[in-house]
Amino acid sequence: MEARAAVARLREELRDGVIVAEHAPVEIEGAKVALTLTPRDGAALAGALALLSELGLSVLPRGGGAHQGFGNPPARAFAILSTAALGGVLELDAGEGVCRAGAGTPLAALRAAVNAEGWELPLDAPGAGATLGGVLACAAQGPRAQGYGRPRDAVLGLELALASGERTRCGGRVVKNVTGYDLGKLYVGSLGSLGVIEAAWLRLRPRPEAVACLAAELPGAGAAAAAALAPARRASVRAALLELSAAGGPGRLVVELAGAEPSVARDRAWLAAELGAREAGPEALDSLRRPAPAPPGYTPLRLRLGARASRLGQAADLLLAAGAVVRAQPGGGLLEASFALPEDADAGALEEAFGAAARAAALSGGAAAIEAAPLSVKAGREAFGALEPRVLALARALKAQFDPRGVLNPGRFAGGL
Amino acid sequence: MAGLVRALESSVGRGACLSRPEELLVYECDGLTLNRSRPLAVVLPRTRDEVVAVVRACLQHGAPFVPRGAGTGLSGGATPAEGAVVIECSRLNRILELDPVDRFAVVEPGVVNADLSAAAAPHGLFYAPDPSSQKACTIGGNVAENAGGPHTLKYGTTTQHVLGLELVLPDASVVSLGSATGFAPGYDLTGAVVGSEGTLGIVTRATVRLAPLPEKVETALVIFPEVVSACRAVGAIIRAGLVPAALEIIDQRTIAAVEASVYAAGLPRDAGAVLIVELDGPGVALAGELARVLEIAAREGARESQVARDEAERERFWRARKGAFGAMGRLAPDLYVHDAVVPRARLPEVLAKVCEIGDRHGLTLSNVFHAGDGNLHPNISFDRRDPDALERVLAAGAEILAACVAAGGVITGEHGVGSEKRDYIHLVFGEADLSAMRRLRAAFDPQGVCNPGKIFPTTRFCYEANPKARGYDAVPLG
Repeated sequence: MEARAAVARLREELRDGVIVAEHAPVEIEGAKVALTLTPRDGAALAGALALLSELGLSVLPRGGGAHQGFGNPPARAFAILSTAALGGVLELDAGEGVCRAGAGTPLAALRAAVNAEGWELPLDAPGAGATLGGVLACAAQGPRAQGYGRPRDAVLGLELALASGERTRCGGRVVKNVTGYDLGKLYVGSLGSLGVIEAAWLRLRPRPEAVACLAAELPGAGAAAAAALAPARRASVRAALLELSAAGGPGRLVVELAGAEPSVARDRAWLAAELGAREAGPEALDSLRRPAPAPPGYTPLRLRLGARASRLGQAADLLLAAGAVVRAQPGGGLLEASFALPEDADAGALEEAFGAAARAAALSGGAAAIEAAPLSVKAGREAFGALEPRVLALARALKAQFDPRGVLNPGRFAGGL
Repeated sequence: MAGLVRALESSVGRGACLSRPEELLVYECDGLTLNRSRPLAVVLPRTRDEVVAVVRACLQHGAPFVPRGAGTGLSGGATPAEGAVVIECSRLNRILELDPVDRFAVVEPGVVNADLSAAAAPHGLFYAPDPSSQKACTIGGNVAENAGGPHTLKYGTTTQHVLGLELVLPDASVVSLGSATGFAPGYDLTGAVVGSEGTLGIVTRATVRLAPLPEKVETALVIFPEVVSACRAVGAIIRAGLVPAALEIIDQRTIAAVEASVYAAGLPRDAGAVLIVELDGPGVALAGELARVLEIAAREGARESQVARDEAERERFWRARKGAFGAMGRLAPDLYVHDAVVPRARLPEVLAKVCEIGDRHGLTLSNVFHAGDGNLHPNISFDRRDPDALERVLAAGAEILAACVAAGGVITGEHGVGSEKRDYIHLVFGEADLSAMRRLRAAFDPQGVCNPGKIFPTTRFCYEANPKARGYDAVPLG
C-alpha cells in the first residue's frame, strides 16, 4: 500500500485511539521513519497492530528510545510505535511488595513511586530515559542484576498485544505461579519481535537496611579478574564491577554492598582488610557503568559476552591484548569489552576486535554480542552473535507463529528476525 | 502396535521396554491417582541417543509420547494420553559435571533432587529448589513443572536455577539451549521450556545453578491461637522487609493429623496454627532478624515461640511440615493435594472460605501451606471407592479454585496444570491468552505429539457446558 494511503487508512480506522503524527524523518539504525503512532491505551495498541498486520506495515516499538541502537538494523520500518501514552503506575500493593505499571512508565518515575512505599525496584537498566516496557523488551540490566536478579526474574505477569491484535495476559500478580506456559520469559528480551508489552506486574524487593560502596585497586589485569571473584561473592554484595583498562595494568574494583547492617559492616571490614578497599561514593558504581565515550575520530564498539568465573581472567587478558577496555561483573558472569577504533582503521582492526571477543566468549562456551556499535560496524554481522542452527530454526518458528507478517521490529532481533 | 513395540525394543533394548499389562499398571498415573490411563508401552532409555531413537519410533508409528520423571507430580502431568508411550527418565541419572568454582552442575533428567544437593554439599554448595518430594523427585520433572518448595520464598522456583537445557524436540532433533554463564542472546527458550509440563520436548540434560550453603540457619516454631493471626504475622514480616528462607503455616486440622501419626512433632494440639519460620544468611545478621520476626509474631498474637537449639530440633519442626502429607494417610485411603496461590493479604479470608467449602461438602479438609508465597495446599482426605465422596471432592476443588481466582490468585503455584486443571485454566486465562500459549506449543511441537492432553482445555468452554467433563475418564462420576 502506498504510504500516503496507508496513513489515511490508519487515521480513518484508529480515530481517537491512536495519535498519528507525521514528522520530519528520524533515522533509526539506518531506517528513515517519518510517522509515529502513539496508542492512547491497550485497546488502541491492539487495534493498531491488527490493522498494521492486515496492511503488512511494519513498526518499530519504542519506549523512551534509550535502547534504539540495540540489535540489528531494521529490515523495514513504516512507523514508530510509541508506548509513551501507556505510562503510569497502575497499582502498587505495599503490603504485598508487587506493582503493576504501564509499559511507557519512565523507569525513574517508577523507581521513585516504589521507593516512596518502602520498596526497591529490582531493575537496573543503564539507559537514561528508559521506560519499563523498553527495559523488559531489551532485558536491559546493569551490575546490580547480581543482587536483583535478571529482569525476567522481576516480572510476575505481562499484558501484551500480539501482532494479530489480540490482547493477552500471562503470569499474574502473585509471586508464585505455574498456570500455563511461562510466556513472560519468552517476551522479556525479545525486543518487541513477538508482541508489544502494554503493562507488567513486578515483584519488588525490600529496601536494604544499609548500603555501602567501596573501591579497591587490584594488580595484574587477568589476575585482578581472578582476584575479584572472592570479594564479588561476599554475602551482602549487590553489585561488583571491575574495570581493566590496560594489558598487565591494575584493575579498579567497585563493590556495592546492601542488606542488613551487620552483614554490610562485616563485608565492608573484610574488603578493607583483604583488598585495602576504601569507601567510595554511591556514584562510583554509576560512573563506572556508563560507557566511556570514544575520543573524536574514533569508532566506539562495545561487545558483551558471558564468562564463567574460572575463565574470567583469561578472557579479560585476551580482550585487553586486543586493545579493549574491559568491564567485568565477576559475580554475574558477564564481560563487556569497549573498543575505540580509529575511524580510518582497516577492516583488519575490526576483525581483530571481533576475533578476540569470539575467542574470549568461546572459553566459556558462548558467543559475543554487540551491545553498541555504529551502523557501519554492524553491517554484515549478526548483532547477537551467531545462533546455533537448531536454536535459530526454533526462533524462526516462534516468529512465524507470533508475527507471521513480520510487522514487529522486523530484522532487529537475534537471527535477523 | 506390535510394530511400535518392536521398534521401541530395538531403540532401548528389550529389557528397557515394558509392554505387558501388569508392567504398565504402575505407569497409569503419577501422584494424582485420580487420573488414570494405561500407556501403550514404557521405555527406560539410558542415553540421549536412545531417547532420540524412541521419539523417532513413535513418530514413525504415529504414537504420542510423554516424558516421566519419578512420577511424584500432583497434576497428572505424566499421565499418558490414549495410546502414548511413556519415556521414563530414571535411568538417565548421571551427574555429568559439577563445577564448584563456576557453581553449576550439568545433570541428566533422572538425577534425584536431593542427590544433587548431597553431591554439591562437600563443596559448600546446594541446589536450592526443594519440593517436599525432593528425596524422590527428579530434576527433569522439576524442570517440567517449574517445581517450587518451602524455600522458594527466598531462593525462587526452578526457573531461576536452570541455566541451560538439552532437549530432544518432538521431531527427534536435539537442541541445546542457554549457557552455563547465564548469558545466551536470542529468545529465552530455556525460560520458556521450564514449566512447560513436558509438552515442548524431552529434557536430556539440564545445566543448573548451585548456590552457596547458608552460613547459618535459624528455625523457629511459632504457635498461634488461630490461623488468621498466623497469616497476619506472615504479612507483617514481609511488609517489614524481611526475607525469610521459608514461612510455612500448618493449620489446626493438620496439627491434629500430624500429632496422631508417626510424624508427631510435639505440636500443641490446642494451637490454632503453627508457623515455621526459617531464616538463613550471614551469622552476624541472623540474631537481629530472628528477634524482629519473633517480635512481629508476638505483636500479631503469637502465643509462644520456640527456636530450634540444634539440628535435631530443626528436623523435628520440619517433620511436622514435611510429614503432613504422610500423616493424612491415616485418615483415609486417598488424598487430594490442591495447589493455588492468592495475594498474601487475602490468605485469612480465602482460608476461611476454603474450610467452609470443605465443611459444606462434608469433607475432611486441612491446610498446610507456603504462607510466605501465598501458596495454599488444601488437602482433602477421602475414599475414592465412594463415588459420592469423589464427586464432592471434585465439586469442592472447583469451588476452591474459583475462590482463589476471585481473590486475585491463580489455580496453581507449583504443581502445574497437567490434566488435572486443564478445564479450569479458563478461570485465569481467556482465549487470546491461550492462543499465545498455543503459538509457543506449535513452534516446538506442530503435530502435538509430545505429552498431548495437558495444560490446554479438552474442548473450548467445555467446563462451562459440562462441569463433569474433566478428563477423569477412568473414574465413574456417578
